[in-house]
Amino acid sequence: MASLEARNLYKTYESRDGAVTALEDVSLKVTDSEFVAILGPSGCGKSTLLRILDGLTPPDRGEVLMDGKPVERPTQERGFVFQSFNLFPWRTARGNIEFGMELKGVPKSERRSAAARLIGLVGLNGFDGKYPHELSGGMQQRVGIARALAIDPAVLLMDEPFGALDAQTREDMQDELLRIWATAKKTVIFVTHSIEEAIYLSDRVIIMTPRPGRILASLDIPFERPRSEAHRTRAEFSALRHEIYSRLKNVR
Amino acid sequence: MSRTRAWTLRLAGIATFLLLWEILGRILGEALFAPVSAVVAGFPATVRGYKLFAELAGSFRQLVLGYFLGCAVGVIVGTAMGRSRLLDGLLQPWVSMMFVTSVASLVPLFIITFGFGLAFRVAIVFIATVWYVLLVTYHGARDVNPELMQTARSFAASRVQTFTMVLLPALYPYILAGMRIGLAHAIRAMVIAEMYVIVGFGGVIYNSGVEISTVSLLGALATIMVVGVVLTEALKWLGRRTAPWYDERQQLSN
Repeated sequence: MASLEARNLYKTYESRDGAVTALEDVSLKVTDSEFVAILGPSGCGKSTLLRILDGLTPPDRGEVLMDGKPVERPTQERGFVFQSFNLFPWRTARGNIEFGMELKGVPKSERRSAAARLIGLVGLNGFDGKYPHELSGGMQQRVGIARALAIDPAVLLMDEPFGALDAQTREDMQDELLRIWATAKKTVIFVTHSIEEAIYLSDRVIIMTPRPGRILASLDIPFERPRSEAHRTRAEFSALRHEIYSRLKNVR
Repeated sequence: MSRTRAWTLRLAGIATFLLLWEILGRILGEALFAPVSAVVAGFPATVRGYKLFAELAGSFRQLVLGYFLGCAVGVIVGTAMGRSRLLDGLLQPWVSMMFVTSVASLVPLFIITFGFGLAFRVAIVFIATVWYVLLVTYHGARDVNPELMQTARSFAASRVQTFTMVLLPALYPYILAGMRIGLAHAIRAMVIAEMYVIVGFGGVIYNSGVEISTVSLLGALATIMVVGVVLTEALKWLGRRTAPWYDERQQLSN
């Protein structure tokens, strides 16, 4: 089982108003098919953190270790799901899902069968020949998730994947993701600014605060799995939400 | 607008034009501006007398060479300029200058350099094509969604893979558009160049232009117009067939 660890990360950006500290001494460790949410308001550096964990952006200081080995650039051991889907418009749903396998040189017959299995897993049967513009936002992100899973990564990094979806689709996709996660057994790091989404999905919520971006707390979510709509209405759910809300508010 | 309606309007436009041509022709007479009926009636004689189609075919063989050379160089240099600030900075002034320079004004210089033969005609067509293809590709390459480039990187794509699997497909609709505009300019340039040295199809236009009657001249002009329109429409069709995602997206935004 894979573990991903960040040690004392620092990252500063130059902006028009001077230097912005996106991350200040951020450390975390995620292991063993754990589902971790990184929660925080916009501008707290959570997306920067995720990009550093993937190797897309180098940190100014500190290091990222995957199974003890330093992460210096993106590899197919980690799959990335983007907020704006970022599907290739000239590729069909199937073609998008096969992208990472094509890069690795997986033979066509093998790609086809893997893609067919994933299309079934994300609930897109019958849509494999459609282009992204022919799919709704929710369906596009299903393709995005399948594309990331297709390279069989040990860790799935998700950057506000449902942030661009309407409220109803968003809740549907949360249930879909939990179902997929239960089948695919991946370690997931899920960035969001929705307190409710973080609680509903994850085993652990890491709370970040902005300017400078720091980890404020790490909370275990005690709810059993599988989770369902009923969890959202429980008293403990509301209590947790309220606790996280007031913690975030006190910082500002 | 529905397809039938669009076609009806197009045909109505052509019919009106032909009618006006006929009326104007009858007023001005054959020596100044032959009516369309006379041009059509005289067309077989024009074809025979000037070996019209043989000359046209010969001219297009030379055009194809210069045109595809221009497309290839335009795509390569345009992409490189769009993706590299260094090359952009170095080449931009030259591209801007050449883009606004009329091909006709370069003809005398090219005759001095290349003579009257194949090299001259290929060079003129090349110069007419390359800037349009280059500029359209350049803008496409600059506008490639950076998120898609980053997505490729997150999947650990190599530079070569990113080029062939992301950049080229993203540029493909731009390249086709550039080739379409380039083709129109290539045909114009070919005719101009050939009129200077009185060979090929341009030669036909030059020679028929000094006749007493305008029947042959107008027949030749109409021929090159139809050929140009058919070829650019064919490229448009090719684009729709091979890049369905792009066409659909355009229709959505319209």
